[in-house]
Amino acid sequence: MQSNMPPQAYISQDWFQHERELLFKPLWQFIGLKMMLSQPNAFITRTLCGMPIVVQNFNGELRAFENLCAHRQNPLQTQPHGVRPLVCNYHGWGYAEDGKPNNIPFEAEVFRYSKEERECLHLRRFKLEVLGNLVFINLSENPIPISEQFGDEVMQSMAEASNAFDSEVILTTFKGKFNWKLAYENLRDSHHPRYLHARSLYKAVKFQVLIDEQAVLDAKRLCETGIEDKALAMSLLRSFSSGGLNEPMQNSISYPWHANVVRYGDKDWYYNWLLFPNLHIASGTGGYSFIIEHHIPVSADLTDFMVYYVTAKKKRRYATSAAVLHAHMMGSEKVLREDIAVMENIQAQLHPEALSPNLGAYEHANAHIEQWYLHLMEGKFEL
Amino acid sequence: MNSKIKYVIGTGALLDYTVDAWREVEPDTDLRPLQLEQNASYQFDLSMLDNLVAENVTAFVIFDAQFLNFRRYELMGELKARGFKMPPLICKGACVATSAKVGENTLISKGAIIDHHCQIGYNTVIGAGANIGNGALIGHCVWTAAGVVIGKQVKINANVTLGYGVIISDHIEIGKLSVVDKPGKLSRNLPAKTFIYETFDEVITIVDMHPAATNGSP
Repeated sequence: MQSNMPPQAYISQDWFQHERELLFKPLWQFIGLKMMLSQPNAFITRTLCGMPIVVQNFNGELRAFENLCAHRQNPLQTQPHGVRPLVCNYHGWGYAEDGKPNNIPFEAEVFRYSKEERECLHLRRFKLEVLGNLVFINLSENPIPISEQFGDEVMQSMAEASNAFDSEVILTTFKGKFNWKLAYENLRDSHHPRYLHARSLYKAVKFQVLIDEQAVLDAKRLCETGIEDKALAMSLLRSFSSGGLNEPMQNSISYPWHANVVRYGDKDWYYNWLLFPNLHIASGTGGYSFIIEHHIPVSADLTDFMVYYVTAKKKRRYATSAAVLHAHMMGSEKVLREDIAVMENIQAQLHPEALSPNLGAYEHANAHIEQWYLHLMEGKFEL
Repeated sequence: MNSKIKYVIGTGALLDYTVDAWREVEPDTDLRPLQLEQNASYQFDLSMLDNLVAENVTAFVIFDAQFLNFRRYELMGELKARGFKMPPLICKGACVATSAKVGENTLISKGAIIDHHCQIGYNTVIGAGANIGNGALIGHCVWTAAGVVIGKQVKINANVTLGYGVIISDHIEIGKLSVVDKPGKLSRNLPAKTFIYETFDEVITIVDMHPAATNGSP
């Protein structure tokens, strides 16, 4: 299938800004794990679509705000995560869960806001939804229901799987020099592991290429008919997210720490979830542990590739749990680097006159996404 | 303590090195190396320990920093559980101040300098030529590579690993279970369970909000 995706979609900063407005701002975006927000005053900070965001726990309730003080725009929280009230360290302004300042030191003496001015002081707030232990936010003023984006079945699957996550999380960020779309295309390409990961992941999991013949026909038809109907567009959007059992594992190994956690499921299978646009969750241990990958677009050619690992919920605390997570992160580096290297190589060679790709039949999922995405970018429908 | 028999337990080149080092320090001791292998799930075959008798015999365990130094700790535990005394190995050529304290089953390698009033915990490995400043507190199950420099009155907590080329400035504290494996000078305290690697773009951290967790504590 001849792709219509122009190289500008991957290299142009104008295209990137346009995509941010049409795609990312209206969609629900993953922002973090609820386990990292479970204590009162726990917070995480991220920058999504250029917007600095803080998600804060107010006595058990999570709120998402723009992370800029209403006074002089100082970031309220300056660490990527932690436990601290929502207080600006510049002049001591404290904020309540409605985003309004509940404490302005020396307010009457030095600020002297009128009643009307005082009423206008508040943080910009964003809608927040939680699926199991996955926290999503939406930057739009009128967001679509989250079920419009993911569908009930996927939401239930994600809630169930993520509720199996333990509270202890290891995380880091790889600075990827590639466009974020290369990541989701790579994850929906089940043919590459036998080549790219021949000496790593593919030894443990023999990913098979499954061609949905109807989906191939649908992808070709979509190229001809286009997408004019919003209902069709939303239905297609929901089809881009899926997950669950993926492939059986070869020779799964039982480690001593497995006895300390409550396994998710009971199958020695690789689990794989893909949530559009940019979240990937997998278990390469048959439900004993999980990787969460969040590909955050930074610019046309830069992506913050956040990686989290968790085990399944502990039955009891044990001394080596940090070492287990550390071993997971070290073990995954090889596979991640294999993928990152290819994506960076592709990105480095793309130029404005590069020929478009030619997708194979097995790439029907990416072909569907591509058609949908281009229609969105051309203004054929809005989210 | 000088014993007639000493079991030296470990694997590979590290075991060979340790046996040679003991031979230099205790030439009259009957050194008996025991090679322990791990299976695919990293478990040791401990059956060869079953017939060992601890009476009038000492033991020493050597293993690398695998699994945040817990493998070596596990092995030491097996020997202690069997009643063995495990004196430290101060290699010939190490320079250890008389006021310094060194714990059981700890290895101070050749050329290492342990300055006055240092305290080194048990089951710790100080690499060849490492320089540990006056009054430093090095916890249990720590691994320092050869040539590491630790400033004065530094506190290195348990199960920390310091790689080649690492320099820790004076008065700094490194939280437990952390790894610093990026050459350079560290001049700020490092929270527990923080991992700095040359090959990773950013620091790796562990967060645990469980009420029973002591997240961020040394």
